[in-house]
Formats: sequence, structure tokens, C-alpha cells
Amino acid sequence: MAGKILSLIYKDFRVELRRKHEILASLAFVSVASLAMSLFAYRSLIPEFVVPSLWLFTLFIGIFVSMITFISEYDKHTLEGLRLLPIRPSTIFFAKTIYSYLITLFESLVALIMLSIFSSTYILFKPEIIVVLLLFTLYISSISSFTSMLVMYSEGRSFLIPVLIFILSVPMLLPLVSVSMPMIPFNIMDVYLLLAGTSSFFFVALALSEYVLEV
Amino acid sequence: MDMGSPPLRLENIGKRYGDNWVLKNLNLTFDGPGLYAIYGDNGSGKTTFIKICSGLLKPSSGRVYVYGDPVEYGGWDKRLVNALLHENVMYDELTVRENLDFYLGIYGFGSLEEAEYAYKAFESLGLSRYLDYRLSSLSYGWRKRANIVRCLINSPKILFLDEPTIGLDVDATSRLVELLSEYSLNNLVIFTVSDAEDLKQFIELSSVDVEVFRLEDGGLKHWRVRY
Repeated sequence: MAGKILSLIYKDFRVELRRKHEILASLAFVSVASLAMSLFAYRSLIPEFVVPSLWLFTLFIGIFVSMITFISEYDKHTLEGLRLLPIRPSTIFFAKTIYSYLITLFESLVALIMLSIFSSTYILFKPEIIVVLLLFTLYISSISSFTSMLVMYSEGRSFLIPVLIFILSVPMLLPLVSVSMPMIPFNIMDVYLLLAGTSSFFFVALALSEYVLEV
Repeated sequence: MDMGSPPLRLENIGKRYGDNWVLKNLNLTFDGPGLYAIYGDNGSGKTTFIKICSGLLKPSSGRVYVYGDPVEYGGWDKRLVNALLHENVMYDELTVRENLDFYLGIYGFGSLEEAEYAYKAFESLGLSRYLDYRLSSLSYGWRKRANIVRCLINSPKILFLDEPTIGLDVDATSRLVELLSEYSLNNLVIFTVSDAEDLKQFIELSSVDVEVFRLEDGGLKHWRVRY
């Protein structure tokens, strides 16, 4: 099964690298938005502002990535090719989530670096922020892949995706808020909460994927 | 899976889109290997038939059985079946080689040569000259040839082909019919066709008997038994 998952992820990266412009479009968004947010943080003398900006970017990247996972495969009919293969739907979902995670993490790290450079602050390199970023991007990747799989058949998916991703991300906002506020001391329980929420959602989505993708 | 059971059995298959029943109470058993044509006008439900039988579409009523196993979630072996669909299901951004490598890898093959019939089709359809071309740069006919090779990779016991000759030139059509005739000696091959002339040409080129069913008003009738 590991071989099939790796083949699926490798194929997705190959396809995405050939498209180029879609990744570049989101990187352009991250760069421009980072510059704008950093300028605000720098001029308002509130450097901590870059922290919630990073979470917001991760959320937007998740919305973008949902368009290039299941929805793209469905629109190009390649999903039917995948469904003809002897691969369990949960394997496809797992591979798509890992692929989403790697793209979301890469772009979030680009955002982190740009926010830090433009605002001349290094708050984002604090270990707790990095740990939370690693977990939050995994959570966002899970809901992004799940949402993409769920709404791909719908005509109203452009509207449904951001709404669903925002709603599903709400439970994870509490630990994000506490790690973002300098006046609140960092609490390791927030990391555990994020870890528990991420793993719970991922495994529930993995189980449900069997019913969403299969006849 | 019971290899003693008929390869394909349709039990009361119906499919409804809104209020319109495209397929109605289809009951049919394909007992063994052979070459079968499903002939019908545009919109008669041929593609729906193929997609239901290959597990891509859920019927509104009834069940399909592949070697005795119901074609539904987790209940059947997908290695036994493959399908050539009307649409290209391979990746436009990848080359023919990269696409085939991906599908071969999933089926556990190291190279195309290991997939006997796929390799035969690859050679016969002359795809080697476009091996390193991206699919997006190929014409519809060449993309179709690549898809034909793809659907033979697992040497399926049941092969469905939705209008396989559309987009192919005379030479490729003749080679494909030859290949399918040979393949149908040991496997069940079911293809759809909407044009009477295409069907006639297919039958003339085939070296084996073709059993034809007419899909009309949602029902499947024996149109001509043997040619």
C-alpha cells in the first residue's frame, strides 16, 4: 500500500509542476499579502500581527489546494481512471492529504519567511509557532482534501469550499489564538488540543472517504 | 470471487436521471469469453451501461455481479475489470511514458513488457513514436490509443470499451479490432457503438463472431445473434 501511496503523491507533484502557473499564482498571493501584512505590522509597531496573518494565509492556501486535489481530478475525468484502479478510496484520500500537506506547508513556510523579512521581526521562528504551524497545516490539509472530495460533484463548490473550510477550522482557532497572543503564556495543552483535533478529524475523514469516492 | 460463476450478470439494472429512466430492468448474463457489441443511438444509455458495469456509476435499481461478486463497495475485485471511456482519463500534463508508468506501478508491473496485452496494443497501435510526448500535445486519436493501452495493462477478464473506434483512423481501427478479436478468445469484451456503419466495419474486420445487442427505450434486446 505504501508503494501505491507514493506513486499517487509522486504523480500529483509531477502533474502540478508541469502546470506551474497555479502554484505560482498562490505563491504570488502569499508574497503580495505578506508584504501588505508586514508593512502594517511594521508601521503600527505591532510585530505580533504577523502571527495571525500566517494562520490566515494557511487557511487561504488550504482553499486554493482544495481546488487542485479532487476537484481538478474530477473536472479532467482522471478521477474515473483512478476509480478503475484497484486502490481503496481511503488510500487515494490519504495520498491526496499528504500531497496537500506538503504543498500547504511549503507555501506556509514561504509566507513565514516573507512575513519575517518584510516586517523585520523573528517572532514566527519561535519553536511553539513552528510546532503549531506543522499541526495546523496538517489539519487544514485534511479539511481541504475532505471538502474537495465532498463537494466535487456540486455546481456550487466555489462557494461551498471556503464556507466549509472556515466552519471546519473554527474548532482549531482557540489554540491558535493563545499561541498568537504575547500576553498569554504558552500552554503545551494547546498543542495537545491541536494534535488531538487534527488526528481525530484526519481519521474520521479517512474512514468516510470510503463512502464518498466509492459506488 | 467464484471463477465458476458467469463473468458478468446484470440483475434488474435500472438507471434514472430525474424522471427519465435511461435503463430499465436489464437482466442479462454473459456466460463466458466473447466479443459483444451494444448498439444504440446517442442518448440510449450506452455510456451509462458501461459505467454501471465497470463500477463507476451506481444503478438506481438492481445489481451487477462480476464472477458472482456484487459490484459495490468493497465487494468485488477491480483487477478483473477495466474500461476504455469516451473521455481521456490519463493526465494531459504527463507524457505517454509517465502515464503508463504510473498505471503499471499501481498494478505492480515494472515495465510495459510485463503487461502482455498492453504491450501488444502499444506495439500494434504504433504508440512508441509518441512515448515521450505529453498527452496534451497529442491528437484525440493518439490519446485514445494511449487509453486503449492503459485499459489493457491489468489484462482484465472483462473489458468494456465505450465507442472504441471513434477518433481512430482506418489502420488503427483495423489493428484494434484484430487485437480485441484475439483478446476476446479468453476474455469477455463488451464495446458500444452508435453508428451502424462503424458496427458493420467492426464486424467485417473481426476474426471472431460478434454478438450484437440493441439498446433501445432503456431495454437491451438481442439484435442479431451472430455474424
